[in-house]
Amino acid sequence: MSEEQFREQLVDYLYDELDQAQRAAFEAELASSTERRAELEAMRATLRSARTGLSALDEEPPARLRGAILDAERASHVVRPRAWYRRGITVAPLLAAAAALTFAVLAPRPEHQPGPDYASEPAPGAPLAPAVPEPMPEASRDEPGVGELARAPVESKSKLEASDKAREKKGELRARSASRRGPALQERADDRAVSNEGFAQPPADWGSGSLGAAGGGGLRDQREAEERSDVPASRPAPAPAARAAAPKKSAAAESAELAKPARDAGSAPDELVQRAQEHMAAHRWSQAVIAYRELLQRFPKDERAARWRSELGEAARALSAVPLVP
Amino acid sequence: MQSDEALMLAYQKGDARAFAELVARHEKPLWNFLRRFTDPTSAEDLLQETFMRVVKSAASYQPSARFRTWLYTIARNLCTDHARGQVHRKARSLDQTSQRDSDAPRLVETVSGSDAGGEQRAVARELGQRLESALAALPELQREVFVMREVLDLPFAEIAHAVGASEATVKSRMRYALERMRLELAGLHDARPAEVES
Repeated sequence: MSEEQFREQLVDYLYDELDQAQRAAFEAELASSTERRAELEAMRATLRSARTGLSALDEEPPARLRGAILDAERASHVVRPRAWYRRGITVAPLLAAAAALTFAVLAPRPEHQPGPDYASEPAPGAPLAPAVPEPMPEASRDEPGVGELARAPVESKSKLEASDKAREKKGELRARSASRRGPALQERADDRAVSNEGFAQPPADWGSGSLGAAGGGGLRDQREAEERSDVPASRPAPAPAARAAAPKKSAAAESAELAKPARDAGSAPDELVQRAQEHMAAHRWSQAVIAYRELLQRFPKDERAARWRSELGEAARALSAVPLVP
Repeated sequence: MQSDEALMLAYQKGDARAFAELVARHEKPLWNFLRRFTDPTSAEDLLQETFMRVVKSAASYQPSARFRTWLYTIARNLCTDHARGQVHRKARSLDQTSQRDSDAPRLVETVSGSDAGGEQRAVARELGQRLESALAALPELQREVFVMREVLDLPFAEIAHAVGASEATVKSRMRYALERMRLELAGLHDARPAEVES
């Protein structure tokens, strides 16, 4: 047996991986050579030392690690979205969304009187407005259903005032009232409410699922107006005739319904959490993003905040993964 | 006891307890494997990431592949990526222990004079340090083969699969690793000739 062959088979012999014939030949070689026996013994001694050393280095992983792994697994399992084509999404809603989006971008619009530019127009001398929720994610503003809210008729100024008074009586009006914000801001909010009246009744041919009124500012503007006027966004029920004409709610309308501003959920997070979970379960990612962001903004100290953050991430990832056009 | 593969199939069908059992089975060997290449903090990250990769890939797992080989391949690849990411830093602090200090008592002296439990533990610790430095001195390809064989107890055929080399190449790397370690650990096993098997 050549030196090279011997060395090649040495490891196999040490680990008992030679077949019977090879083993017999190798042992015959060992019997005939003191030098090779010594080499084998040296290798065995090395292995023995190494194994002793390895057992000395043997460690248990940190106890918390298993819990962390299992927690992460649970979190990913609960909200992990599957590819849209595997979870049985029908193509029709996506096509409808794409068509609505196209319409929103290309369709001629009625004369639109834009509201005041809040961003560039700080009220002179007015105290700063209280913190407002972060802007809506870009993707969610473009989603079908958001336009529904944007087109929702805004109640007249007098109605809003009456509503404020009623709420004030009940002690429900929040601390960020018009008096705290200053008259200028309140005035702008009033202007806003009035200027939106032009959109109160969309043309009949716009259809229930279109995004046509998105030019009015969409959900974000509505929420801004709400922030400034302390009046909840009005969500009037459709007229009986309209209900009869649309026996089944479109997907977009349903989305809009579910994208109801989070402040409706009251002061406790539970209702909002439930809503967020429903959005997740139904794969309404944008609504889930909105709901979880709202939760994190309003209840950042809640013990479930870490989980909400994780689910917000999952929803955002899922949202970015769903193509508008299949 | 259910095989790893059966547990993985159960997990594929949604049985979270099967995943927990897989973690319990493989967490420790994986930890010790990772610790031979990196510090505890990185090892924690890599161990978690390894199991998260399993979670993410569970749907595509084929029972034809041995779970253990698959798992350890994931860990090995993550480890390699991690090492590449730290190309300007040494993964292990070689200069701490790899250079034998001529003034330090040789391990042989400690071994021969030890009989109390505490002393034996101290010897074992020192032996561990010597081995660690010997491992750190190995080229990475040889080290991973050695650790996979001796820590993870993988057969050479599975190591070959995990590292993407032929079985002959893997055995050759093992032989080089042993020869190099023989030099590194020479003081130790030369000290105990009586224990050498004949």
